[in-house]
Order: sequence, then structure tokens, then C-alpha cells
Amino acid sequence: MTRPSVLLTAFAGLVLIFLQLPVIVVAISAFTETSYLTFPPQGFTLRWFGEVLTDPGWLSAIGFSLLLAFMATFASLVVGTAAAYAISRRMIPGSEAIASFLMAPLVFPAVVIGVALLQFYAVVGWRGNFAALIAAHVVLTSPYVVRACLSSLSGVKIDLKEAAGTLGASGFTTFRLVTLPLLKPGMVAGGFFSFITSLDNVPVTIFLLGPGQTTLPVKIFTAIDQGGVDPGLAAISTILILVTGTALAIAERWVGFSRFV
Amino acid sequence: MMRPWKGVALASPLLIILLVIFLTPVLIMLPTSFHEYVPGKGTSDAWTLSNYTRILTDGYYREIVGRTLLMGAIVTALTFVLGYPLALFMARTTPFWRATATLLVIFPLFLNLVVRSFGWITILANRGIVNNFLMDIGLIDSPIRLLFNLTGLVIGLTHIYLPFMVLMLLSAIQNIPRDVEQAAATLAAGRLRIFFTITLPLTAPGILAGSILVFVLTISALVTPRLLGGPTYKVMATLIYDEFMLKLDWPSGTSFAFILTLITLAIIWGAGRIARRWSGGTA
Amino acid sequence: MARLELDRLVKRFADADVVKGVSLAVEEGELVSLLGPSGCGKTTILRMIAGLLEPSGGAVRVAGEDITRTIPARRDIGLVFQSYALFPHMTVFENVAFGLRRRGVKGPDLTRRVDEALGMVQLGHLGDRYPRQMSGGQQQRVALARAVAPRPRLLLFDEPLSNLDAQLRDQMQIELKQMQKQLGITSVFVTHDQTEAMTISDRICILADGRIQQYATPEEIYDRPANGFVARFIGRSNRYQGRVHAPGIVQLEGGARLAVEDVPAPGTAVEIVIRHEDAALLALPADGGNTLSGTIRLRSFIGSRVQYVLDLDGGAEFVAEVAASGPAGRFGPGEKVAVQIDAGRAFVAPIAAEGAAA
Repeated sequence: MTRPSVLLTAFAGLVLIFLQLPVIVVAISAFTETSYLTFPPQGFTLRWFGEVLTDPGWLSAIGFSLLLAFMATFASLVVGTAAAYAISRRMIPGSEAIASFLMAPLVFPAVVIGVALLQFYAVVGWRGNFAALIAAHVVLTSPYVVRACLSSLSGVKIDLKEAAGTLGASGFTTFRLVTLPLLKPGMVAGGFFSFITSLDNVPVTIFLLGPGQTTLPVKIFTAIDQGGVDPGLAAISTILILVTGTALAIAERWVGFSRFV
Repeated sequence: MMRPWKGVALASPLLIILLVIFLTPVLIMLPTSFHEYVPGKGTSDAWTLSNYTRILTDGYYREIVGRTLLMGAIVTALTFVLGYPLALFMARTTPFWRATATLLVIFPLFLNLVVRSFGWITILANRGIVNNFLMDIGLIDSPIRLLFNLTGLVIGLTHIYLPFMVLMLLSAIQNIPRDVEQAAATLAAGRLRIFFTITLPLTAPGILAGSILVFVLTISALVTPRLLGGPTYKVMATLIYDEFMLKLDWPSGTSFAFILTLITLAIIWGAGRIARRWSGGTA
Repeated sequence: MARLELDRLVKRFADADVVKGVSLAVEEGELVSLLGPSGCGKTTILRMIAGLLEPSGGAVRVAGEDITRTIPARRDIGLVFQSYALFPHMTVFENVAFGLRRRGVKGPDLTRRVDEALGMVQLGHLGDRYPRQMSGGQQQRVALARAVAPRPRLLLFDEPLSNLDAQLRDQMQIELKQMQKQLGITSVFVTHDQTEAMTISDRICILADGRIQQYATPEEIYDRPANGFVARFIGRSNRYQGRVHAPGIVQLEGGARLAVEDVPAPGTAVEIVIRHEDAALLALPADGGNTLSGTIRLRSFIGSRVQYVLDLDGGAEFVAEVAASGPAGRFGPGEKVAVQIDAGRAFVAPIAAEGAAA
């Protein structure tokens, strides 16, 4: 096949730079010595990182977000993997339709889910309830787990299980030694997507938080929405960039997860 | 080998969560949207169609709906124009560069939406990078307005949804059997002709799927329009946000939520029909 | 080691009977092929022996023990899949060790037996590779080693060589037969390739439409086909419609008469089957009887043999294959020749009586 032309390569390069542009700008401007955001930054200081990392408000938001993302991911992995397994083995009638339903939150307007849950939780008195917030996140994150697990399970052909059976493995042993290990990459990738999605979410979370509760993205969102931008926000954003980049690199090395996107 | 009870037992926890925490709340909104809002008192018991008729008759609301759809169309077109060449490059380059480019495409996808919008504010603000640069080289005297209008929203949302389009297009291009293009080449077709008569038509299903996804996500985006559009330049999602959070007018907010949902579902349904017709007209 | 017995085995799916009462015994240490066109039920039978499909009727017995309802894991069998079905997340060593571990083998004993099995397929040095790092032929050998490592009572093969290229397939057939003889494990081999079945089998069971057509040694099946189906299926042959003219004489549709041993009563409508290699070509004028005459249309040289396509005088076509070294190997297109038929090697079957097998 013909290699891409110079023109195509140059265009692709520019688009890739466009994609990284805001990331680079935020990361660089976090080091400015000025108390307002400016680009290029003036001087170099780590002061803003120190400030946000010692601020109890930011720290509790980070802690709350991580706990929420962890719980939502764990729950999504449990229920999502089980559902994907049932669908992939066609153990329930109407598997196709059920799969579409499980994927629906991916394209359903998030803000609509947000306000629908706002009203519903207000009626049943769940607003500000941490478990209810986790459940709302499971709605948003489980489709990623289901999708990645379905993709992994499509590699567990029926003949592998038959082979294990003829070699003397019981149903449970086959599941433990054959199905589960082959499912692992899908669970890792699905769990990663799930964690990032939960950690990223604003349009649903913002409607459901009770007084005194806040997540990291909601806190940044509210800060920009109400007060505008400052180097402290750039610093906390840079921390998120570093964490995401590192996690992405690890997940890619571990399971080559870009094939699940 | 069919053991329905076992399948139901495995699938039901997630199904129950989705029924209770997703489907039921959305359906419960429907009656709310047919009630009247009384300022200071909340939702009244009286039934009314006014929430929906107002969207159709009131110029302010009509403009917001029109603006949202226009924004969706422009962003979809831009992600396609920027994304197709990139996807084509990724499909044709060496495995090393493909992997590198894939990571560079995925990375912003996983980066917090708020952080990415924040980056664009820094770049596009009146004292931001673009305006400073243009003023420094003397091209303009006073800052041009790149935020709190359609330009800012389109730039920010194009950036955010471009990765989705690229990944969809990449898989569509990789699915074209190589020998089809080679066959065209042996029939003495030039590169451009092969592209427009073979590659582009064969990736049409991928283009459709990518466009639908980007359009649907764009018209329902909340965070980026809010941060780059500010409190005054509204689209449907930010309007819903304000009706609920600031005006506490739930009936009006739910009616908008339903209009947005209906538009989304109609587009997905229509695209599904087109895709089925392309794939051979059966079923 | 054990004798395998299938007793009136039936498999009924929702819309059709696929296996219609198959009874068959495979003696201890014997290798039997199930051979037939696709859809004849051979794979279904194998899967019922393995326990992957439940029979609708009949019984499967190994060494006299009824295992018809036993789960595969308790049958003590080894199955080699067409797709190999190697576990992609395990090394070659772990793949081969899988069945041994399930039988409680561990420690040095496990290592020794895995190495032994891998040695048997000449892969002793590749134990720590993963299946995806190996060629198709190597993967096939691993699958074989994995199936035989636990020394099961029964070895089952589901078209195991059909994904290999021709040369490798020939080589694997020999190796597989040697190994099976060396281990002496009772084996059932499913294939649709008659040459493969001939090469490796002690006996061949020819199936069509869910029924056994003939169960005999390769020689018997080739020399004495039990019915018209087997005659047509084995080897490549010329086929003509005709009628029995008199005892020992058939008349072809074009009018020519041939002497054939073993024919039905005069007047019966029959099909006459003559293999490509069972006719002699003679220069005219020819000595001896039982000949048809025709003109050579095409000549193809295929190594030790020459294949001719002839137009018989009656208008029909005849394909003959003769030794390239003899005088018959040197005819050219356009030459008129005599086609001499060996009365003992032409097969005649009544047309009406074999509707089911057709």
C-alpha cells in the first residue's frame, strides 16, 4: 500500500498538535509566578502546586472524587462483567436488545440523566446520599465495562471451553482457568474507562451533590464558572493531566487497551 | 445449553440498576413537563401544554434550539474535515506511528473535560494566547471576541469530540479490504480518483456512525458550552441547567430535556435506518 | 485402552434427523475414520462420543461401560479440534499440562510427562512459547500433544489437518498414524478427505445422510464398494446410465454393450461406474473384447500418469488415467483409440433402489 503523502502527514501532524494544545497550555501556565494566568508564563514556581495540595477544600474534593470513582468502578465491574457474560453466551432471550439498552447511557444526553435523577432523588429523598451517587455513576460507567468485556469474551470461543471439558475440567474450573484469564484484559480496560468517566463527570454529578459535598471536576467547574481562571486551577489541572497520562501509559502497557476504545 | 434462569440472574443486577436509576427517572420527568410552574411556589397541580408550545412560539427559545442544532452541524462537519485525513494517515502509516498517533488521540479523550475547556479559555480569552499573539504582530489593534460566542463553542467542542470521530473513521478505513484499492490501482485509477470512488464510499457507514455520535454528544454537551459560552450565550443543555439550578422551573427544564432527548433518539433511529438500507436493505 | 461401541445412535435437531441410527464398533487400538460429504453427520457422531452433544437415542459404550450421559470431563478422552483450540493465555507447556493437572499429576512427574508428550511431536524445545508465536503446523502438534499427554482411553480427531497446507498435511498424516500405533489408543478420526482417510485408517466408515454406507478396510472399500454411493464417492469415476441387457451384460445409453461381473436381473435400469484408472487404452485395431471406441480430445501429463479426456463414439465423455511409461501414455489429441473395460472393476448399481443414498 502507498505510504501517506507529505501533505497528508503534515496535516495529520497539525491535527495531533491541535489535540494536545489546551493540555500543553494549561500545564505550562501552571508554573507562572504571577498571581493571574498568563501565557507564556513569567518566571517559574511550584508555589501553586503547593497551595492546592495543602488546601483542605481541594484535598477533600480529590478524596471524594477518588472514593466515588473507585466505588463506581468496582460496582460496574461486578454487575457489568456478569451482564456481559450472560449476553455473550446468549443465555437470555433478546440478548441483542438488552445489549443496546445497556449501552444506551453512552449516547443519551448526560444532562437529561442528571436532571431526571435530580427530580427522582428529590422525590425519594436520596439527594446527597453517597450510595445513590455511586449508583448514578454506575449508570454512566457500566456501558464501558460491558462493551470491553463483550469484546474480550468474543475471543473465548466455545471450542476453548469444550477443549477444557474434554481434558477433564469441570464447568467451574474451566471458568477459573480459561474464561476468567481471557476476560481480564476487557475488565482492566473497562475498569480504566469506568474510573476515568466517573472521575470526569460533571453533568450528572453536579445535580446530585448534597450540601458540603463536591467532586474535583465539579469544584473546578464551579470555580471557573463563578470566579474565572487563576494559576491554582492550572496547577490542579496539571496534576490531573499527569495522573491521567500515567494511568493511560500503564493501562496501555498492561493490556494494550487502545484496542478496546 | 440454554439456561435462562442463570442468564437472568447474571444480567439482572445491572438491568435493575438501569431500570431504577435511569429509565424510571427519565419517564417520571414526562408528567412534570406537562405541569405549570408558579414562581415562588414550584410545580402546580394543573396540567398544561404551555411548556412545549412556548418552545415553539417564543423567539428566545427557538433561537436556542436553532443555535444548538447549528452548533452540532458545524462541529460534526469540522471533526470530519479534520478527522478524516488524520484517520487516513493513521491507517496508512507504519505500526509505530499508528500506535503513537493513537495514544495522542486517546490522551485528550481521557483528560478531564473541565481541564480541556479551561485550556481553551486560556488560549481564546481577550488577553489569551491567540489575541496576544495577533496584537503583538500588529495584525489587530483590539482583541477579537473568541469566547462567549459560537466561535468559542465550536472550537472547544470540535477539540473535545474530534477523537471520537477519528477512532470511528480509523476502524472504518481499516475495514476496507486492501485488494479493492489495489484492484482500482491496476485499473489505472489515480490516487485522488481511488480516494473519491473507492475509499470514501466504502467508509460511508463509519462516517455516518461517527457523525451521529459527534452530533448527539455536541448538542447535549453541558460543561464546555457553559465554560466557553458563559452564563449568557446559551445552548439547550445549559438552558436546562439554568432552569433547574437557578430558576428552579422544573416543568420548563423537563420539557427542554424531553425535546433534547427526542431529537437525539430521532437522529439515532434515522441513522440506524439509513445504515440498514446501506447494508443490503434486509431486516 | 478400550473398545468403543456405538449402539443405534440417533441425533435429532429441531428441523431434521442428522444421525439416523448408527451402530459401530472400534476395536482396541484401532484407528477408524468417519468419512463422508459435509452434512453426513460425521462431526455430530464425534461430538456425541466426546459428550459435547447429547444423543437423542442409542448408547455410547467404552470398554463395556455406558457413558452416554457422562459429562466430557469424566470420559477420559482426548479431542483434537479442527481449530486447535489452544488456550491463548497459556504457554505450550501449560497447554499440554492442562489435562494432566486435572488428573492430579504434579511435580517432577508432570514435567516429565509434558516433556514426553512434546517430544513425541518434536516440540520438546518450545515449551515456554505461546501459541500465537507458533506456525499453524506447530500449533497442530501442540494440540495433538495436549490430547495424548494424559494417555486417554479414547482419542478423537475432528478434521485436525484440514487447516494445514498440502505438504505439511501429508507429513502429519504419517506422523499421526505412527504415534497412534505406538500409543495403541483407540481412535476415531473425522475427515472429508478420502485420501487422508485411506492413508491413516485401519478401517473407514463411510457415512451419507446420517447412515453408514460401508464400514470396512480401505482396500475393501476401494475394491468392493458396497453400493452406488460408495462407488461414486471413492476415487474419481466415469458414470453412465444404462440397462441390464442379459446376465453379465449391460447396455449403455449410447447403445454400446459391456461385460460386467455381478449385475442385477436383466431389464433393470442401472448406473455404471468406471474409475478413471480402471480402463486400458489400446491402439486400433484392438485385440480382445469389452471395448468402447472414442477419440482423444485432451491429454494432460500429471507426473507418473497421463490423463486423457475422450469423446466416445456414442457422444458421451470418458476420462482415463494410464501409466505415463506404457505405450498408452503416448497417444495424442485427435487419435482414435479403444477403451478396454475390466469386467471385474466396473461397478453396476440399480438406479431405483438407492434413492436414499444418492
